[in-house]
Amino acid sequence: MIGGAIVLAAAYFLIWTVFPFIYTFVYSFFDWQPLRPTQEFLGLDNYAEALFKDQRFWLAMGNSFEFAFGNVVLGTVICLLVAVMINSVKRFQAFLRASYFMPTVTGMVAVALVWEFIYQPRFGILNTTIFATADFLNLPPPPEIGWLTRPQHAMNSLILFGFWKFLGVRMIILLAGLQNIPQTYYEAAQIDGAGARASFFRITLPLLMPALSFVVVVGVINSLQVFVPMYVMTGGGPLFSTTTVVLLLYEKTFQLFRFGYGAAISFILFAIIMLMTFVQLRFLRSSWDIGA
Amino acid sequence: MHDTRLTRRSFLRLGAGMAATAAIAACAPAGPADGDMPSDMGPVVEIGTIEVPDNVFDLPNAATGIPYVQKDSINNGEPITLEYWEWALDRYEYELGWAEEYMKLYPNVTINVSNQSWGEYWTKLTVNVPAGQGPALWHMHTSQLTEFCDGGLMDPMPDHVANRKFLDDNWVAFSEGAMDCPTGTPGSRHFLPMGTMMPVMYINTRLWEEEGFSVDEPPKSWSDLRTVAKALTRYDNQDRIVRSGFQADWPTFHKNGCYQQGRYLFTQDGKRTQINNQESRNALQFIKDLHEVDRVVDPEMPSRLDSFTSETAAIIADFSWVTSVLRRNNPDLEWFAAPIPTFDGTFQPAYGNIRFAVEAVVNPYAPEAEKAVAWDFWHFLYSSDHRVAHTVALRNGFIPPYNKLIDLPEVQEDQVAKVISGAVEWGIVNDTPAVYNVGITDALIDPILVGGTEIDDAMAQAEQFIDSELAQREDWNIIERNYKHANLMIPDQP
Repeated sequence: MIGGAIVLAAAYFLIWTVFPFIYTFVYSFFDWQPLRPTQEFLGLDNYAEALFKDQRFWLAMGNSFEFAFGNVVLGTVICLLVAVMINSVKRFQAFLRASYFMPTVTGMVAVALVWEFIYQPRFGILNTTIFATADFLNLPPPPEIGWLTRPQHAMNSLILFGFWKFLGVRMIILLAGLQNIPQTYYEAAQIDGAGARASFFRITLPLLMPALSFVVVVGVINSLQVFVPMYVMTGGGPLFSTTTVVLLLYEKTFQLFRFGYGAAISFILFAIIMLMTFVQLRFLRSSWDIGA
Repeated sequence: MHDTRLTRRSFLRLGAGMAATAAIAACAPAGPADGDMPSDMGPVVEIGTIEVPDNVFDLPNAATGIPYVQKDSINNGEPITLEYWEWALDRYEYELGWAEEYMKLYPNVTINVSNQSWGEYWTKLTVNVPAGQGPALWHMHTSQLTEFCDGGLMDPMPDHVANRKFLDDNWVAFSEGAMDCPTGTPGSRHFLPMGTMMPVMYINTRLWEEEGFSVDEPPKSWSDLRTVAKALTRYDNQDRIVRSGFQADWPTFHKNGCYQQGRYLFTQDGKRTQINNQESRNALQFIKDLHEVDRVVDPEMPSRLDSFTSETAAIIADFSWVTSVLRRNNPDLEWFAAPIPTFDGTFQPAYGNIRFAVEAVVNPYAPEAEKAVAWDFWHFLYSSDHRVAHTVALRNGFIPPYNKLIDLPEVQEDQVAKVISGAVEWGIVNDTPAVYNVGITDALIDPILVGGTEIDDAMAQAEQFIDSELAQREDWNIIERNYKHANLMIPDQP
């Protein structure tokens, strides 16, 4: 019975993960255009084109890293603050947890469309509120911000959207980590005269490192693979400022039908993510293995 | 300059319109924000009171030149199932009706019509059809014709369902738009459009008349357009545009602008673009001036369709599929249609781009038995003029592509169909490849309007960018030079 289940699971994994992975890898060396009957072998040309000729690839890579940095580094700090805040609240904790988690369970496409409306520069809620507030406070009218229509703001706006969308799941993981820290450590620290700040940096943060590591590593992986917000809210624009690697991959693959090139881009991204994950785990594990 | 605030009514309309759009779109997976993408999703509202005659099948209709004759049996009476894919909910519903009609004739046939989102639709087809899978029939879109034709992914029309000469002689722009695909013998055809669409200008009647203009005198030239657009634009007390005088799908406007001045978009061999030239510069300068000199529109305004339906745009120009969206989702909005303004106010040397709304095409890799039934069903679809003229064309803002149907009173009474039928003589059939459409937006229009790039620099960059992408393949099927008035275009173009 168990053997059968294992075989079934292994077969599923082979068919749906291993085989497509190998198939895609093999075809990343071909001029694979599915709408054409023949596929020409190109060797490393697709990889060379992405790495050395296609300026858009590096722009997209820069955009992906910009999103990842904002979303993970700043996002994790904010999530940590929210988790600590909720953890310290005695009443309504379940309500607060549910409230913060709610964006996580909403459909990405649906909320992206709603945020697009919020960000609409001329009639959207955000700018309208800013103008109304300035008017109420008798301040001079602020300049209109093209949240998604100007290249200098578009990526930041998407990062902000990312904070909101991904905050819940990170907060729950960090909250679980916080609640696993034995209360006795804090009591002992208090007896020794440690303040809140010292307790946070000497007890909370070190003991939270496994959870933080998980949030950071998974956050980086997910952020580098981000696609939907850009696809729905900006289409990669304006002026290419929000085209991430996965959006570029999608464009090359499904709009321009260059599957081979798209496959090569996906494997370059895969290599980068793998490398970053190893580096992060090595760096972060050294900081949470100290207590082991 | 006007100093009129955005009215509360306009604001509420905009908010409601956008919220409704968001709600509708939220129900479906996302599609690309592309000007050419038919956004046909949404609740179905019947247009007019078109009665389907009971004897539709018995009428002497033979749109393909070969009348459809009901057979004693099909597939030898053996059960057979066909898959038929569609991406637009509206069409899906009437296609279900067609399938049911056909299945009544041949009870051994089952046709499963399935509706899929635009984005997934092409992804799945692109992967499935070349792999010998996928549906026996699917609804084709004009933007994908070149690719699917080049890939040999549409079965050639068998002689027993359509007469080539009849189609050439009797179908609007059919001979200009037809393309040879590798799977067929030269001259064979693979698709037959059920509608023909062209760019049209939509004008808000109330705003137009409030400004003192007559609906009988829409702007004819670019110069006229500037004048009325300026008059219709409104600004708030901070000098921001709150009602745009004119909005358009700018890449399409540029494309039509080049045609109107006699310039083709591609070189004769179809391997390179013609972007860096005086005609292109004129069109881009006009678009730029509308934004920066006349200030009738800016990039901070909502999309043209959202703006028009919320009355924060007085005039928009778009392909005529917009008609079905306006009629279905905004039945209370009063508007009238007019030809898009041309460079000098005339339709010569050309008016603009013609695009086909292509109905079902057949999968060349389907099993032979399925292909035979699929083509019979296809033939059945075109056996009814009523189906072609009413169900498809008038409902979607097209003209029926079959010449004899254009003169039907109901077609001539339909204001959009009337505009198109008046301009179709001067239309150029061309389905630009996706790489061109992406490049024009990303490398030409956006850099000029958003990035402040000089027109000459943007033209040079865009031409280089698109040409390098085009060079990745050699088999582009560019058909614009089939234009019937090619003699009026600029001579000796490369």
